[in-house]
Amino acid sequence: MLLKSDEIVRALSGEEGPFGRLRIVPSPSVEEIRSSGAASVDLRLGRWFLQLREGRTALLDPSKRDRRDEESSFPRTVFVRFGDRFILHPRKFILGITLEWFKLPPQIGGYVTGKSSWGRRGLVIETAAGIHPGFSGCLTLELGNMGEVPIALIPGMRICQIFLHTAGEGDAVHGGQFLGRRRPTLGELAIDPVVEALAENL
Amino acid sequence: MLIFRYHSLLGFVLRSTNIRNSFEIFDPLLRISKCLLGPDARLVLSSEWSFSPFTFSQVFPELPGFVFIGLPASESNNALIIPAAGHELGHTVWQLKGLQAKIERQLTTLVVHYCEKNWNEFQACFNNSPDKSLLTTDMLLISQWTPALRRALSQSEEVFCDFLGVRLFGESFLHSFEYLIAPNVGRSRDPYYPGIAKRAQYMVRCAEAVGAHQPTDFAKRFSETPASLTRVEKFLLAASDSATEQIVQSLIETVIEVADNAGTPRFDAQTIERAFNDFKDVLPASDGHSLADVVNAAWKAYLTEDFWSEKTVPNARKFEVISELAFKSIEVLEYQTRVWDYQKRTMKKDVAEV
Repeated sequence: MLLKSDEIVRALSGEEGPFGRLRIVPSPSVEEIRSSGAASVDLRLGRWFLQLREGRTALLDPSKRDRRDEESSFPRTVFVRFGDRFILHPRKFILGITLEWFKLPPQIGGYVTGKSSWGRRGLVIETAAGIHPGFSGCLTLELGNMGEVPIALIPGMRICQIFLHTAGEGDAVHGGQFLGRRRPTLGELAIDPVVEALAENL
Repeated sequence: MLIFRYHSLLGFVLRSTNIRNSFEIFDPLLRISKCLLGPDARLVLSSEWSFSPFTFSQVFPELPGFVFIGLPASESNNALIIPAAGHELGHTVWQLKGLQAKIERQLTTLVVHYCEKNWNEFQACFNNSPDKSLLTTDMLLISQWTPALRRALSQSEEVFCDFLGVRLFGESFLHSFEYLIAPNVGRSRDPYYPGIAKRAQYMVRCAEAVGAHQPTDFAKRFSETPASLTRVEKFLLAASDSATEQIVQSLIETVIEVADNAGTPRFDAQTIERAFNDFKDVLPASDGHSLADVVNAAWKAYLTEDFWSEKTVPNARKFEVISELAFKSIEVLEYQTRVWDYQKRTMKKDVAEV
C-alpha cells in the first residue's frame, strides 16, 4: 500500500503508528509534504558523482568471473561543492547520490523515480529503483541526459522523489553492499550460474 | 629559482584537489579558521604522504591569511583523524597571532634561571664560564644557552597546538593523537618536541581545564626510548624541558582566551550523546551538532565494543560505516548552516524592506 502524505508525515515524526519511524537526514519539510498532499518525498542531489569513462574498457562481459580489473579502471569520482555545478552533456551518463541519508523502518519499502519536470527536459533518473525495508544510507542515482541540451546538475537541487509503501510482516533486510554509504557506488555484478551453465560446451 | 621556492607548496596545492580527500571537512574547518584568524582567512586542505599531519610552518608573505593543513593521505577516508587538523591549525594561529614573540621573554628568563640554578653543570658542560651574573650579557654565554631557548620555543609551540586541538575537539583529539602517534613503538625523542609522556600529561591538564573527558590513564600509555645525548645536549634539553613545563598553565590560558574570544564552537556532551545515538541507529547526526561533536561521537562509537549487531552492520565494515556517518553528518552540518544563514539574511532583508 502506497503511503499518503499524512502517513509519510506520521512516519517521519515518529508518532505511534503502524509503520515504525522513517528517518531522513537532512529532514524534509513536514509542512511542505503535508501541504503538497503528494504521496512522495522530494529528494535533493548530493555532491559526489561517479563518472564512467569511455575508452578504458572495451566490453563489460557478465560471463567473466573476475571483472574487478576492468571495472576499477573506468570510474572517475567527482566532487562538486555547494554553489558549483556539474554539466551533464547530451547522451552522457553519470552516477549521482541523494543528499539525504535514509533509514527505512522494517515495515516500509520504497522506490525512487525521477521528477517529470526534469524528465521532459531529457534528464532521466533510474526508474523504480527499489529500496528494501531497513535500508540505511544515501541512494545512488543513475542520471542520463537523453535530451538535446546540456543540463547543469547543482548539488542541493530537487532531483527525484521517493514513493514509500508498506511491506509485509517480517525482519527488515539489513547489511548489504549498499548500506551505510555516502558516495555513489557501482556495486558488484553477481555471477549468474545459469549464464555459466548455458555457456558450457557439451 | 621561483619554482624551487614554491615547489613544495605547488605539490601541496595539487594534492588538495585529489579526490581521495574527504572534502566535507573543508567548510567547518574554514569556519573555525575564520573564527580564529578573521574573516579573510583562507584554507587549503590537502593530504600528505611524507610527513603527516603537516602544515607549512612558514606563512607565505604573498599569501597572507592562508592556512595550509595537510592530513595523512593514507587516512583520507578516516573521519577519526580530523582532530589532528586542530593541532595543524594551531601552528598558523601561533604564527599569525605573534604568540612566539609574546612568550619568548618569559622562556628566556626561565632558561637563564635554569642555568643559574644548575650553574655547576653549566660550567662543566661549557668549561668557560667565569660568572653566572654574565649569563644575559656575555655573548659567549648567551650563545651557549640559546639552543635551549630555541628548543623551548619549539616545544611550547607544539604544546600550544596540542592545546588548541584539545580546546576545539575535546577528548577526540586525545584519541586521534594516540592513533597517529602510535605510542611505544620505540622511536627516540626529538628535542624540538616535549617528551611524549609529558606531552600527554599536558594534554590531560588542558582537557581538565576545558571540561573535556579524558581516556583512562591516557598519559601512562606513552613512552619513548631516551635519546643518547652528549652531556651538553642533555643539559640543554633539560633546560628547555624545564622552561616549557613552567609555561604550560600560561599556554592553556592563552589557548582558552584565543579560542573563546574568537567564539569558536565548543563540544557539548549532550549533543555528542545525541549524535552517538544517531550513529547507533546507522544515521548521521542531524540535530544542532558541531564538527567536534561529530568526531567525538564517532570515536565513542568506534571504541564501543559490539556497537552494532553483526546483522545491522557487519563488524568488518564498522570502521568504514562510522567514517561514512561522520562525514555525512559534517555535510549535513554545512547544508543546515548555509540554509539557516541564508534564511537569517533574507529575513533581515525582508524586515528592513518593511
